[in-house]
Amino acid sequence: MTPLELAGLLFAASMAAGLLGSLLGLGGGFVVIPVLTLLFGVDIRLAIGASVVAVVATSVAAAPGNLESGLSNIRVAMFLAMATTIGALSGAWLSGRLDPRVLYVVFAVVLVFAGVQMVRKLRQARAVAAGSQAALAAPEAGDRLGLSGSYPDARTGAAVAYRVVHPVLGLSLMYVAGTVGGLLGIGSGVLKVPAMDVAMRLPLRVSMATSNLLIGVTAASASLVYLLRGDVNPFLAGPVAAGVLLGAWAGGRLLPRLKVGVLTWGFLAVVAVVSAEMLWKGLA
Amino acid sequence: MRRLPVEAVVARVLKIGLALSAAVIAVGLVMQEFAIRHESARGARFVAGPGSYPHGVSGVLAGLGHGSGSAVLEVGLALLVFTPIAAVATAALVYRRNGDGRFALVGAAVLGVLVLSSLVGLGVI
Repeated sequence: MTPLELAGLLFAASMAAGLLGSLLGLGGGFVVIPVLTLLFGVDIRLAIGASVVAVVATSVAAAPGNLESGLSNIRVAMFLAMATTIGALSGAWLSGRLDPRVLYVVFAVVLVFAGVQMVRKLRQARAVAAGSQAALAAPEAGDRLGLSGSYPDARTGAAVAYRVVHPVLGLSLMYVAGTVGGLLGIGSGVLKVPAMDVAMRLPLRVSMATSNLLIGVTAASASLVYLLRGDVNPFLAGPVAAGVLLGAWAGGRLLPRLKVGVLTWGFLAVVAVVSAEMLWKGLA
Repeated sequence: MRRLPVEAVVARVLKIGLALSAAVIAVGLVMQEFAIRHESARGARFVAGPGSYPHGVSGVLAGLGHGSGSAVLEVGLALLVFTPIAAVATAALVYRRNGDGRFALVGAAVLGVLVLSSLVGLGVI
């Protein structure tokens, strides 16, 4: 294969990864790393370096829209970034010191966790969202920090107010999410969204939009480590970032027209196979 | 003084950063493709570690000096990584201008962590 063909192939595979990732709400990293390591035989450390830059790209591309529509909460993102950026730094530092085989094992475990989260989301979509917001009569820490806010309702456009609770718990969970993201070069929205919507009780849509904003600065923190350490191969990261970005953009366009439920079950089968293969690579 | 809407300002910074980095990455990719055409089969470079591409600030600067596409590509990737960082810096400045000292401090703290990340990446820490 000539280098030109290889670059084209990497671009196409990354585009498919970005498309699939965005349709499943996972971001590109989860798909692109197994593709690069298992299909292209790339060293997992270089795959992580390329993925983490692609994660920055997907966040930067989607964030302006969420900010302008009033869906993401920039104060919550800034507040939690204090923890995620430290986590990302710790994870990226650790990644350079661990045996690559450990990275395969950790990736497999986090992938299984993501699969479980996806099943949970499918179930939740059927059930009616619990209205726990009304119970929050007393002033909360989130109010004192000015984190509470409002978002436009999807149908009416009317402002829906929400309160933010447990900011310190949120910070600690975000440190963990940042560490996993920095270690594996993924956005780890799969950990950030539950930290916001379950622990801090932000509405799910706000949690997802805010997670996207937060992922950009978190991945930037990890990227600085990988980039300056020399773990970002531009030959690899260039086509991968461009591909994932385009795929994610197309996914965002397609999403409202697709039945994601069927796709999720299909992907769960892929998750099982890929995590088994990653596990085998780590333990063999 | 009128309060500036943080969201709108940050959204604009992100858009500019994305457009700028995408343009530089595109130029780098094209330059690289031409270089590779002449260098014949070097597919292994795509999967190779440090040593096969300009590494570190001085390496990239030297690469730019002799028109290396991969150095241009690395500048584009660096611009991309700096985009959310510029957004945080802008948000901190807007908060300060709006008289919200506490969130200006939050932004400064995040920027402090990012400086730390750079030092770790450079191997200083």
